[in-house]
Amino acid sequence: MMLLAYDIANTASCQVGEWRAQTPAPLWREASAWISSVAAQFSQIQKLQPNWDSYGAMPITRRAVDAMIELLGSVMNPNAPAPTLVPSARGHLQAEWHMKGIDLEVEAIDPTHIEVDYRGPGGPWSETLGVDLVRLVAAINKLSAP
Amino acid sequence: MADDPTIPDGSRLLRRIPADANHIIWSPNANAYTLSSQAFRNLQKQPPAFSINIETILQESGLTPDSVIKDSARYGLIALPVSLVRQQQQAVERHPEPDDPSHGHVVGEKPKSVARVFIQAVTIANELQWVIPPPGWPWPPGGKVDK
Repeated sequence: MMLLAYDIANTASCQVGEWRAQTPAPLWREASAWISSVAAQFSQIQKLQPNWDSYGAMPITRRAVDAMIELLGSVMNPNAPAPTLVPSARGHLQAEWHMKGIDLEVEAIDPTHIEVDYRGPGGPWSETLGVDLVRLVAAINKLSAP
Repeated sequence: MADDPTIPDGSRLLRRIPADANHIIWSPNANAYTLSSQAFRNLQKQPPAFSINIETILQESGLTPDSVIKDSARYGLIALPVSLVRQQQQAVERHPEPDDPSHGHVVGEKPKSVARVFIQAVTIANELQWVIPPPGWPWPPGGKVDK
């Protein structure tokens, strides 16, 4: 599986993450649509200040961003639609899709604790995944179908 | 603490939804905006709970929901029926604060299934029902996030 790495320039004015493929492949250059969207969303999410929800929410940690990047790099394909990235009050991230008759939420609590909730063709399921992401890849593939 | 029976089933629990944190998201499935389940996740772990304002206490104090929106340029306000919250095995507790006397907690584990019930409770015919809408509402179809 491809893994994507990124560096986010740590300057006050830089708002966009730089994505760098660790294992280059022409196929992944075609994935620029969802990567661009996700990078832009990361940029916005990392602007969130403590208490962004007015109830004491934590800012999104670098570790949380890394976990989500690692996850997306493992399960997305070039045809996959971009997720909406949603911050959790506890400082981690959730990726969501609500399209093509599928509602999919993927909460990356840490790299080995991925909570998935799927509603759509094939029946609903909710599961906490670790290193085995086969079911999630299958769900993403359903979203990727034309 | 346990569920407070002096908070009537017919009351509502008010909760702020941030307008700029993707908790209000466009759903092509519904062709409408919906809420992320993260809008109803516990911040507190021991006991598991999230914050709300209890509408009956506001009313007793002669206050309106506007008094708990904090910043209308950043949040919208939704209302959950107390009866529905209790049906989801949640306890409703008063936790007044010096500057927030109607503050309370909804206590209980909140798996995605509970969050979905809460989202459905604030949605009628695919349209989110706001006590106080977020700034700029209604938002344009298709979402605010640049995809």
